[in-house]
Amino acid sequence: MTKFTRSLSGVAFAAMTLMASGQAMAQTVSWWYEALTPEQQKLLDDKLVGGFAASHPGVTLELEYRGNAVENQQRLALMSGGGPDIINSNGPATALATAKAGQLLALDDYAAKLGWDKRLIPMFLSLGKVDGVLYSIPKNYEAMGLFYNADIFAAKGWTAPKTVAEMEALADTMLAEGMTPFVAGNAGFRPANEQFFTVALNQLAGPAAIREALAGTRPWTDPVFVEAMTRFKAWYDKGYYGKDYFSTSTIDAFAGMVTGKTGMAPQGTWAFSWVKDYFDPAGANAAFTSIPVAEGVPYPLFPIGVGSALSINAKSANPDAAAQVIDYIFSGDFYGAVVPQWQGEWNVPLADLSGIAMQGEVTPLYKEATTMIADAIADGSYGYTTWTFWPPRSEQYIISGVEELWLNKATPEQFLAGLQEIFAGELAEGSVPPLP
Amino acid sequence: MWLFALPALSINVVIILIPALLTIALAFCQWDGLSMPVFVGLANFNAVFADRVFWIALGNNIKWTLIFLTVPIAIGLFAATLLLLIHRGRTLFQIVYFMPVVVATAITARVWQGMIYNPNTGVFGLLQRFGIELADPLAHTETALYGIAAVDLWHWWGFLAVIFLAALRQVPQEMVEAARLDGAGFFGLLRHILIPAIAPTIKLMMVMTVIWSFLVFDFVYILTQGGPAYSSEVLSTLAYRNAFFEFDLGRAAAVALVIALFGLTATFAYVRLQAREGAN
Repeated sequence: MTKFTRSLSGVAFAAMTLMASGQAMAQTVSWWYEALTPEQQKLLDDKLVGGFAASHPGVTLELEYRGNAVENQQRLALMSGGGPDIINSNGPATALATAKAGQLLALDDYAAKLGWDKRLIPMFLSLGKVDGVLYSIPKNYEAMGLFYNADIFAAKGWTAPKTVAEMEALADTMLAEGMTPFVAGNAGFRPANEQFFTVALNQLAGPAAIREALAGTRPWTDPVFVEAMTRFKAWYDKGYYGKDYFSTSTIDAFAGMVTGKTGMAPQGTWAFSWVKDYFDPAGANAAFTSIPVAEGVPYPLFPIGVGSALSINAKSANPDAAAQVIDYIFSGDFYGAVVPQWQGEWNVPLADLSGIAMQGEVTPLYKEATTMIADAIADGSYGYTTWTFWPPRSEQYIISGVEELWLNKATPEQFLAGLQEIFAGELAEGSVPPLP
Repeated sequence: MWLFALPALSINVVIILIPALLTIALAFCQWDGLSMPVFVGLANFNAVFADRVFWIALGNNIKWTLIFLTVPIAIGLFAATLLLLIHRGRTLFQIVYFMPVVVATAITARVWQGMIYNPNTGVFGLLQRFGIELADPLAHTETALYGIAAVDLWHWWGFLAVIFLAALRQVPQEMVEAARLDGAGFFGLLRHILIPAIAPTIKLMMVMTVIWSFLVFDFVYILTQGGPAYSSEVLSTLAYRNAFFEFDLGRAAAVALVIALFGLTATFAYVRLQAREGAN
């Protein structure tokens, strides 16, 4: 070995030692996040980044707020071999496509080692599996239920409807009193259409028939769905969704429930933050219960959705550290710190909430609702939301198709025939997310 | 000479030529944006042409083009001619006419959506309370496209007025004076002197209008996202949905090529026209 090569080897060894010690000293886990308000960013910086740093010295979580197009940026980055360590997908359907492209790490070993398989509700873990391998875990889950103004209902002697027949009778009474029965509107957010479709389909056709259709054993053109869509269209025609549906935003309509302008809200659990924004300042009392169901459909019923799912980038340099971040999110410490501040958004699917010390006030309504939903899920009394269980082209078809159905551009039969054609293609491609 | 052109050429190759070639290649592939693209021949074009929404969108783009080839050009020309004939306050009027062009599209769209058209919070709602029944045009399939076009027209015609005024000011004043001495009125002056004199500018603006009309996206997306029931769908919103919500980038590229085809046809027609005029 010459003097030069000896020197070179020495430099290389020193560099490797430095790199190794650097790795042992500090690891960074990157996570690209959607646009948030400054208050929300501060909350996550404090409770997530700060909370994680305090309990995990040696690992730094870097949250990067990248705007509303973060999903597209992430796709391009993954395709070119880059991207953040933690992959945040818009639910199981997106995670499925990413996993099939080989861009996600299998999480089964972490789930067993860190106890996720015991800590999380099993139904939600099953949604992240592709061919039996776990690739994603829901960051939070949402459930569609019925919100209403408890004060107005009490004053008028109304009770929350449990059956569709009761709901229609109440809606007719509301119409007669000049109220818009449902909190609804899609101005500025057309996907609101699929939320109303989801509720109507689940309450009228029932989750068993939907599951069969999603599994491909019952066509969407089946009479049970035709009947459901015919009634859904009749509700629009009668004015249950309001005469200004296309000019109103759902949030504005929700605010109208405080004053009695709108009657009841078939909405997701994200609306708990609207309760805080509109009911609390007005000193009004909101209530939450299951959606009413048709004869033969189990009650209570909460269609379940997953807004985002967490995975680890297959090319991550720090997969163990990324798993620690995910593990922290599914900890009681983080749940207790974040939920009192941001109700509805961080509804992580923990199986047991009883031992968690909440660091702040959680409204009795929210506690009652989460318990009610968790019990229903445990009993198997849950339904299916389009944005979680339908593949992307079918979902997009539904968003516009609902408008065609309501505005007499398509009959229920035509609307469902179109859905069947698109869904069958996506089912054959393997794009339908796993079913619980 | 090549060295002189190199900086601009490099930028064009990297920013325009390569993405354009990739888009053309992508139109013949199936690609979800995650896995490797797969060559599928003309399958994307077959799917696009078999899709009834594509034909609705194409029809809307054609309607949009016809509206923008006539209404804003006529208003812009009329206003520019009036500005040419007045001297006091001309600068002020130019600023007022041009102001909507510099307001961000999102702001303009939201103002019209929430403060003008909205039946609860807008001027239309206020008029309804006085018994004047004006429905939100964005909420109805028959009027949604025209409701969006009205917003874009409001924001656009001032730009054309300023461009046409700049062209009109190049017309020799002697010609205008001579025509007036010969007894030409406002419309006579416009028809026989001013319009023929600025015809190249008008033609250029018309060609650009065709290209821009097939690229229209922002106002449509903010105001209706193509709804209700596809009534305001245009090719660019269709391509956007294909690419970013349905994750079918090959099909989106095929729609993008159709958009480009119309732009190229307009450009080709303009170049031929210029060549013919040059020869004459």
